[in-house]
Amino acid sequence: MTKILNVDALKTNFYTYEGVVKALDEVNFDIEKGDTLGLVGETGCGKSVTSFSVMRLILPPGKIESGRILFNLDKQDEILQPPCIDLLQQTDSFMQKIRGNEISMIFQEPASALNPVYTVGEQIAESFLLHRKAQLYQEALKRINEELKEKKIFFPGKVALIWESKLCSKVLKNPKSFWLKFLSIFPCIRTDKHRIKKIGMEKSANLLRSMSVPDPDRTVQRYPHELSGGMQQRVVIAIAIACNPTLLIADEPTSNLDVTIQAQILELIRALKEKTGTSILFISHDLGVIAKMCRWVAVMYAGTICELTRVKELFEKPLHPYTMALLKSIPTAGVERLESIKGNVPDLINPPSGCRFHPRCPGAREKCTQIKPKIEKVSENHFVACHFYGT
Amino acid sequence: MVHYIFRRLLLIIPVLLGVSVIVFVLLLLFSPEQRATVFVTDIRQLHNIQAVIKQHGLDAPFYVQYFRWISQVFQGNLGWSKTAQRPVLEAFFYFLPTTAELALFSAPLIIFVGMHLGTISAVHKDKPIDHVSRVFSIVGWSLPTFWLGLVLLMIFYGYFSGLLPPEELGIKASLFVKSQEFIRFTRINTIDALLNGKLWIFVDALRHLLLPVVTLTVVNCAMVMRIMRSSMLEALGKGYVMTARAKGADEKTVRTKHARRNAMIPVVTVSGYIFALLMSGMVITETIFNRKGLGWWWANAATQLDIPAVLGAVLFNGVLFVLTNLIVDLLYAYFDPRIRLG
Repeated sequence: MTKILNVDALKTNFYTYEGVVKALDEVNFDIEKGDTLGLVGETGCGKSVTSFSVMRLILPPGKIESGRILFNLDKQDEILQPPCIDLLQQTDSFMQKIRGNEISMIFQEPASALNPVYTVGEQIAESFLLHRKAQLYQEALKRINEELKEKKIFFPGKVALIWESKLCSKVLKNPKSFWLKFLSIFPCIRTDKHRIKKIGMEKSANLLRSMSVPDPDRTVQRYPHELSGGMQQRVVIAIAIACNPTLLIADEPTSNLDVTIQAQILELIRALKEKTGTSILFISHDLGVIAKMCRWVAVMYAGTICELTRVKELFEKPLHPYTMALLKSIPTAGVERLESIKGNVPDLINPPSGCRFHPRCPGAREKCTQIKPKIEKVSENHFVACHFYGT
Repeated sequence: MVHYIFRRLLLIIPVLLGVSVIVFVLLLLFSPEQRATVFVTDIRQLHNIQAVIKQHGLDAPFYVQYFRWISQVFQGNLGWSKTAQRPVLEAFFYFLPTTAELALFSAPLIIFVGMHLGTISAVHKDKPIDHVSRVFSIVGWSLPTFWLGLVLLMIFYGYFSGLLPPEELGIKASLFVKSQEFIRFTRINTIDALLNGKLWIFVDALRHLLLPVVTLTVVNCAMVMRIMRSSMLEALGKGYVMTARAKGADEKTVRTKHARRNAMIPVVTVSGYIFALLMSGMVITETIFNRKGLGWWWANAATQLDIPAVLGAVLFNGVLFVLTNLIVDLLYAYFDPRIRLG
């Protein structure tokens, strides 16, 4: 299997007034093509920071300090580059072409992830406009030519259509020309934009239809506040998958939805994955959801990955003490008492020395307080970061 | 949307009635004798003021007097203004264009400058440019209007001898404006000059407008700037801005299309308020620059106890603020679909 994403020794810090928050400390993982990797951990352990780092969306005061994020560009139709690139070395304008096109993201809270002043159709169509502009304009040209051929149009209508086709071919030739920018001052002259908007809306409606949203043609005309939480999350997903990304990052996509909707959304993401073959980085704090969605799972604790293995193996044979404790704290039928992990999540401004889990670890020894364990392969498909794993 | 507008228009009626009651109560604060003097045309009547009171029903019960007064108001009869030497309503329309001209020129500038400074500040938060624009706005905010106006006059009228003079028009231009050749469409000098095709009058009017407009802008844009900055900062921290970035939008699109559209909503409120303040007469600005507008008239009326004029001012301001609020609400609905469809 080819690897689509390889994160190597990723380090992200946040420079706050209280001090430097070492949010990610040497995070390593990789995702294979068409595979799903689950990222699980407590609140504040750096799951979201990892996903934002991969998108290169860490804003000041945050900063990605070091590491590599190798991304495999296997579809070369839009951007001509050698197949493997380090995202951390790329320019911002290049990243803008990657975001939403090659890597996109589903956000936690659909209600705040959607802009309240634009219709959902406009927001989905924006993805098309940003990355599939040429395609949209070709479609527009095709329609104009059809209209010109088929119907008998009176003189002024014909002139308007010819003007529109001229504008479209101009945009296709050089979208950044000064002449077009000048014309944009008078929105009523840029008639091509209306048609592009219409086509964008139709495409959004089609996308929603493929996600089995009821009545997509009317839904695209609605504003986010008119939709239910589940529907809003569907729209957020539609925005993310509009350009068929190679990698989809789902940052707790179901944590704010109720259980029935949650199941629907998970089913939707799974169906999409099967249909398009995108790889998914699925972030959740819920091991049950991870078990349902993923083949691989990485357990995160305080900015480090402590165990990385197949889901089945994680549940059957956990090796890291934190994973064991985490599994014991899942409510299961028949178990009377749930065990909790003693202590609190460490302060990441002054993280514990050595292994970051040692203050809470039942089996901590002298070595744990001094040397930070590296993530090591212990068997086929199983990686653990612990000096005394399994004990 | 139509439903929303209709509802807001209906709501205006009770509000305006409330305004009229308040104005009338202010009128009643004067004793019947004082109010009777308005009707005195002959000095001899003063000896028998009770007869005048009887004749005009000034001792009638509250509601009778109110309905008599309100029916007069509806007929456009607000009394005689001795400061303007005209009926109040006529005087009002005589002074309005000068004020409206200044408000129409300065309000857009205040809003434009304030919004852009606020956006720049928010985008470059805690960077030097943010500090500069904040200091500029707070200094402008703290400068007294009369001080800034006088200093500007000293420099541009005194030192540069007559470069940017006070008053509305120069002597030559004002004579021409008053002549038969010049048709007064709106009585707003700049617009009329353009409609008459007299460019030199337009330039002359602009020269006279520049200083008061600059004064008002410097003093007032701080409020717009501050509110724009904070609401822009709030919008930039919202989830949808991150969504837009994750879509691959460039930073400029993220700011202008996604953040600013949302950040505009609170700015609309202040802008409406500022526009209403400007329209209700800038007493100090008009006095300093000797522009004979509403503020100048009302300031005179207040000092000379011209009661009908002052009551007219209160009534006008009430109506003005009600209408501005209506427009602000409609703009809200335009900017925010949650209000439009809620």
